[in-house]
Amino acid sequence: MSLLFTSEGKPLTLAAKLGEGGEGSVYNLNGLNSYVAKIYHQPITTQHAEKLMLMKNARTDRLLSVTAWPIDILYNTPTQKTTVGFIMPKVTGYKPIHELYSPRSRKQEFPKADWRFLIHVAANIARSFAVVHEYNHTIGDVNHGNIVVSSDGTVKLIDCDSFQILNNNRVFLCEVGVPEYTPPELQEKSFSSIKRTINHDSFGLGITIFQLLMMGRHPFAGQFLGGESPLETSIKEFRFAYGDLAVSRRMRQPPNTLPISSLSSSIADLFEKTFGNQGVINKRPTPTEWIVALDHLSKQIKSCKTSPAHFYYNSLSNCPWCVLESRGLVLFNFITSRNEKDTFDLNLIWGAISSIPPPSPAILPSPIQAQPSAMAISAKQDKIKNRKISLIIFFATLFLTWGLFNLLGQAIIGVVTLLIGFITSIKFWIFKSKYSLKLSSDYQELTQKWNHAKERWDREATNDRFINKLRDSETAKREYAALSQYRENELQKLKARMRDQQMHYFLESHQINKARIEGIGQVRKNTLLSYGIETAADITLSAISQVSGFGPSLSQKLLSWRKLLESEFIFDPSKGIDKRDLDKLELDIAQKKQKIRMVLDSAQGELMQIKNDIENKRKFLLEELEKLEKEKAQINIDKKYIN
Amino acid sequence: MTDNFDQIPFGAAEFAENPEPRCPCLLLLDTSGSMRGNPIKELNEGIIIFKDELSADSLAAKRAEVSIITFGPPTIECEFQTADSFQPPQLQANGDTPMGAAIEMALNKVQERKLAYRQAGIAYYRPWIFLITDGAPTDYWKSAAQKIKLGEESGAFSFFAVGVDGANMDILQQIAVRQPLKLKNMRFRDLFVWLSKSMKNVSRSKPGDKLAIENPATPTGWATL
Ligand SMILES: Nc1ncnc2c1ncn2[C@@H]1O[C@H](COP(=O)(O)OP(=O)(O)OP(=O)(O)O)[C@@H](O)[C@H]1O
Ligand SMILES: [Mg+2]
Repeated sequence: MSLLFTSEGKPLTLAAKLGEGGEGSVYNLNGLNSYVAKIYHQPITTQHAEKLMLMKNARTDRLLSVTAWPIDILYNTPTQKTTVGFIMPKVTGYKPIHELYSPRSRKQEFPKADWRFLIHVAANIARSFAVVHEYNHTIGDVNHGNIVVSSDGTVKLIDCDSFQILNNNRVFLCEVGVPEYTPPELQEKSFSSIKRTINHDSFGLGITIFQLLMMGRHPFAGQFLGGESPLETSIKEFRFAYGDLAVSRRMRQPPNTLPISSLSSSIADLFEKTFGNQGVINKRPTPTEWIVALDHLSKQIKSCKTSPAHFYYNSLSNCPWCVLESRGLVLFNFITSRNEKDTFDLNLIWGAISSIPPPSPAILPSPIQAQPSAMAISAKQDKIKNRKISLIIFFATLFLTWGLFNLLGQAIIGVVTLLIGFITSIKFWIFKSKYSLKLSSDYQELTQKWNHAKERWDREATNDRFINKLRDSETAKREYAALSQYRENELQKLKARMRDQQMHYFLESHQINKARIEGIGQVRKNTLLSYGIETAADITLSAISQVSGFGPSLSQKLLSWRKLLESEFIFDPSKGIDKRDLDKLELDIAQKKQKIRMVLDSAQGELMQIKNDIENKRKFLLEELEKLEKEKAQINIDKKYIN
Repeated sequence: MTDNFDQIPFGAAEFAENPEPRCPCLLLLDTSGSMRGNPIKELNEGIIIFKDELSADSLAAKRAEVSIITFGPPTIECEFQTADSFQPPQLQANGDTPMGAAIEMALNKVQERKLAYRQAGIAYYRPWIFLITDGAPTDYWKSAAQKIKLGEESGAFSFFAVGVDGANMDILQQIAVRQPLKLKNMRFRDLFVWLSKSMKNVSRSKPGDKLAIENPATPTGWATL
């Protein structure tokens, strides 16, 4: 394409192509930095040319604040015969909305975005819709690419030439649409003859807001219990997969997604109204209703105590992101906001912690004096009786045996009598009453019980737990106080390494992919990439030796490329420490701080709890030990008495 | 209600972090001995281009999923994964051409993947199976052909067959429902550029355009009929 002409006949030429869609390509314009041109692939109808002209004339600052509205027409001749495209403001620094709502791309493209940001963007999208609707225009083709977002959360609508434009009762239709954003009543219909309404836009808006708040999930993507159900069918059949009514639609919410109750009930209600069948007849929630509800939600957010990256609806008792994270689904980057207001006061918190009195000293029950029990007394009597019998038998046996030997000469019978007599005597001698048998088994059991109770006492009822926790808090406090020194030290280290780092970043800015290196074609570059060797900074002998197919000669080529770059590097001390290194350090400190704060924040409560717990355990264990002590004393005295 | 106590199936993180609708494409590639030399080299480079083209498009990178099955013998080279994480393999040529068994393996794989999407509540487009061969089946292929017919009729998948020089186009005609295409002078790169373009179109398809694909069998295209 050579020369193009504006509606005033001014000649223009196209520069680099910025993007391409189904209908046209978008180019920079030479000499016009803040505008771009969209040039159609195919010749356009006179009606479409008329629509563009009308849009150009109907532009307002308000529309231009939220859209890339056509501001001039482009012709291929100075006489304005054939329209080939149009000029619109250039949107730079904006990314398609799907990069924000999908967690994986969000973590890369919007690393600092948390749930508050997503709510904020959702409300901004609703605002941009409301502006377009003020003029009775309709967006029509709402989709994942036509809404673009910047890192500050402002949005722009692009592809405006496909909007439905209303002018003096004439309607220029929007003839396109994407099924995932198309309302049930328009599914499978041809857009070329349908007049779009604000109520249709509200469906697409609802889908987009849902995707933003619900981690990129589509409201109609769920488990349909009746078999396969493509999105288009699910939309047509109102199979919204979330909420209380989902069961009645034979839908199940996908596993590992947020329950809709994690949003406020008013937001959940708006979704139900947008996606349910009543939305077709009774108007779906309008952009304005969404703005109010989302702004309200943004004031009902609380931050998670465990992760500074988590924000959630303040009526929930638990952080829903932590629940998902505990299953290995990390949906937000762990980054703390540095501008957050500092409400943390170390002295105040430490004062509260150190003012908790430790539990009073723990005293074990002292030994107890006992009297022999009645059972022991009767056992003792039994014992004495048996001993006496034993002695009698013993002497009687001696006498009998003597008589048998000497008087009757019955030697064999004498030996037998002697044996029987002795055994019987011994049996009586060693007699143990039932009670004294019980005493020894009781004694064993009791010793075990007592040891066990004493162990628990040492573990749970002494002040050790309290003292340890206090010591941990003290360490945390000391570490917190030392953080500023740590920052100083790290800064000194960075300063000392400034030249190396500058060189490193210089090398890092030279991508292998974009460089011309002798003998290294695209395939080899891809191989290097797959080994994580992306820039000159990654090139080292040891790294290259890992890559298959890179022998000494290729390695040498890569190394000399790096050498060459190194020789081109000029150190500039006035640049100071690189911002990336400073950021990394600040992040490191913020994370350390956060960790310590969590320890200290919870320390007061935990100490109180430990103190209470120790005192309770102590009461309980003391009773137990006293009881055991008493039993032990009884057994001991009884044993002693019987023996 | 979610089933909070459901076990977390393998792949849960993948779908949670990237819940975009999936557009699966299974490459069913003949790596029998006859592909040795230039053909396999061109094929490998074509696959690298396929990956590069798809991942250069931020939406297709998240939506298009690639899996590779080679034969012979039938081997799963790459399980289904999105283009941004797919790593092109270095394929080697050897063995015979058990095309029938390979097709059945591919059909099972696609069925399995669809089930995984459904369990995870992930929407998907009709899967594509893309067969590239330079020979004729050395095993029983009639039952595979029957299954392709049923699958195409029920809309379970789209099956495309491409013959490289030496392919038995008559048998391919009997296997695939769609008209098989013949690759012109080893233009694997053009084939994969076209395939990535088609995937990109399918992954952002609009109603009306039933199959958003360019005809490759034009004088400038990579194929003849
Ligand atoms: N105002 C703009 N400033 C900068 N880049 C733009 C602008 N408008 C569009 N683009 C880029 O050009 C691409 C194509 O633009 P657009 O969506 O308007 O084309 P299209 O042919 O109508 O596309 P589709 O087929 O998706 O409707 C966009 O994805 C975007 O990357
Ligand atoms: Mg368009």
